[in-house]
Amino acid sequence: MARTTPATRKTSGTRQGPEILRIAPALTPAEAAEFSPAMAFVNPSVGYSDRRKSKPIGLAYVMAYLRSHGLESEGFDFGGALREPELLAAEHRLDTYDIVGFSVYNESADNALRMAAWVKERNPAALVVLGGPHATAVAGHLVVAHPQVDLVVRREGEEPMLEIARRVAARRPVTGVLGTTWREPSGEAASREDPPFIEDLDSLPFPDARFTSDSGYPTLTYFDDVSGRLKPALTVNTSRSCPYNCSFCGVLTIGRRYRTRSPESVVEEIGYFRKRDGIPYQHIYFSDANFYVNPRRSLAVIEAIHAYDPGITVSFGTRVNQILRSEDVLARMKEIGLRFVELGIESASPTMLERLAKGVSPQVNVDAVRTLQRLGLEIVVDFIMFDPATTLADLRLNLSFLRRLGFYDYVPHEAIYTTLVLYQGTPIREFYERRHGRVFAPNELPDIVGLYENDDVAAVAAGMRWFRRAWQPAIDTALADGELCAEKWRAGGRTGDHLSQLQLDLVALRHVPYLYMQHLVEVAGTGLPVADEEYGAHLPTTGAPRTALPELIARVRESVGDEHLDRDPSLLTRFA
Amino acid sequence: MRTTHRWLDEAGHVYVAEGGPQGQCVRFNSAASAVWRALLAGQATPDQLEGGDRMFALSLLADGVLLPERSS
Repeated sequence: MARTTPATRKTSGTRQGPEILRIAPALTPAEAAEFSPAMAFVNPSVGYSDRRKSKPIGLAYVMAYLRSHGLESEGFDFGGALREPELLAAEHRLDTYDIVGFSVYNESADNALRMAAWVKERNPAALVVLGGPHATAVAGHLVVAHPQVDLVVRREGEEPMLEIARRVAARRPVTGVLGTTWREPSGEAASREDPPFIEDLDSLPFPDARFTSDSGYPTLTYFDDVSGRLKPALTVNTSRSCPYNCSFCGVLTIGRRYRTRSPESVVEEIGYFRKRDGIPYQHIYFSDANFYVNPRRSLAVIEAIHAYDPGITVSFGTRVNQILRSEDVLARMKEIGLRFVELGIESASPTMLERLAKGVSPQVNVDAVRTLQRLGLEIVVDFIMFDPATTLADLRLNLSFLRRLGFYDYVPHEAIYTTLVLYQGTPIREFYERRHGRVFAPNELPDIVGLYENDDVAAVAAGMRWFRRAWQPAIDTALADGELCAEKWRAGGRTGDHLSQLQLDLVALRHVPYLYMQHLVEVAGTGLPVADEEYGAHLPTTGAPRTALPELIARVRESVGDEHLDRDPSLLTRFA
Repeated sequence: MRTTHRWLDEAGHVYVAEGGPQGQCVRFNSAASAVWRALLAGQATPDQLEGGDRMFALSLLADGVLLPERSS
């Protein structure tokens, strides 16, 4: 079917109602050749903006797979949108498509359902399909409780979506596709079994899909301290899933079968996107759930990239226990371009680590960090400071760990604010349902604020929320400007009291959120309540000379003064 | 020992402004921070230290980050 521009798009009129899909006679081969369903794939808003927003790679893979089979589709990414979902759906005429697919996370479930309802109300013939981790976890509920949802594609979307699109094109019933859940005429949910996982990831086309986005995407860059250059960066996924069982991880919902791509395929993808975009990407962010499951395989990928272009640097995320497996591999990786590792530390408390099913002791965390520090590799810290059963003792252990290993310098300061998210379908959510004797609603993302079991911890958490609201934006701005200014002065050969004071003020500023939390924990530990109106009274004095936070920020601002600075948030990862 | 550099002792670590080879602010690890404190407090001299601690202290002297006490 020929598509028109969104402004003039009309509904196809090929179907009169949803049931027609199931009973219409198949098209003749000639008719089928002329009809290709108009498809939209939508990433709904998670309800907050994200300055590091990236393209929805799962949808991109599905769209590229369909295109490789002759089926074009359009992508819409509203991931960080703050506008009403109905307004976005109307603006982009989502009711004019024959198939509208939504990628659904717990955070975006409500917005996805509102968009789907808007589409279905205006075009009952449209086939509304939900997929993604949340849809997988509550597939039956979605089709039974939400009439605007026709189908749920569980787990990997490529094969089921292709089959659905082909059936729509041929006007054949769309029920009964492997890996899907649908609503029977009786109103009950029915499902077909999961298809086998896609074993040969190299057989998939590269995730080349364009998305219409309400906010656009930030230019992905990486500042390489070694070369002193800001590099254009690309996100590449080289594997699917993860073989571990961390109780909080949404990857579990999609299935634990770990599969990998070949080094050749990864290199080919880099070359493909360099050519497509006309950008000589020089840093690769591996977005795998766990890149380093097999160290030799991971090294082979990085070796292949290095052979392709020795100027490319890379980074990846993994678990702490894997870091300890093969220090020699990491050392070689560093030689050929590894710059940082995102490390799933999560906690320094043995009881928290047990609840999170990390399968490691706090000492493994320490050893992994020290290994990376010894190798001179930067660490991006993944941490879960608060969960409902957190105690003051847990918080003390966490802060002690961060302090001892030098993470009080670490920015961004997310590590001390991060709370456990109880994603649908995860064991930790079920754990807290049992522990608290309640069942969370299927699409609910429980607010941890109401779940704290310890009043002191709840008070500390509230204090940290206050601090984040009241002071973190000013700290972030002062740090971003101050680090750039200090770097500019230093690179320009400026020395002396002003540079020294600015350098020490920036160190102190980095410490402030950690010191503030440390103080709240100390106060709470004495049995004194930390009241809302007292949060400001606990602000630390810090630095040399010791200075209150407002004065510290003012002094950095004064130092920066009128310096012309080319701001880039990635520079915040540096230590001037 | 003395220093003309400004420095900060906070969160378990010593930070020395312009203490790096290119004038960066440097952070010492826990062991190095302890050596720094001892040297500046007059509790030790480089000659009294051993192994890595001594090497570290001597490197600070060589780089001019630490200076000998002025003779009176």
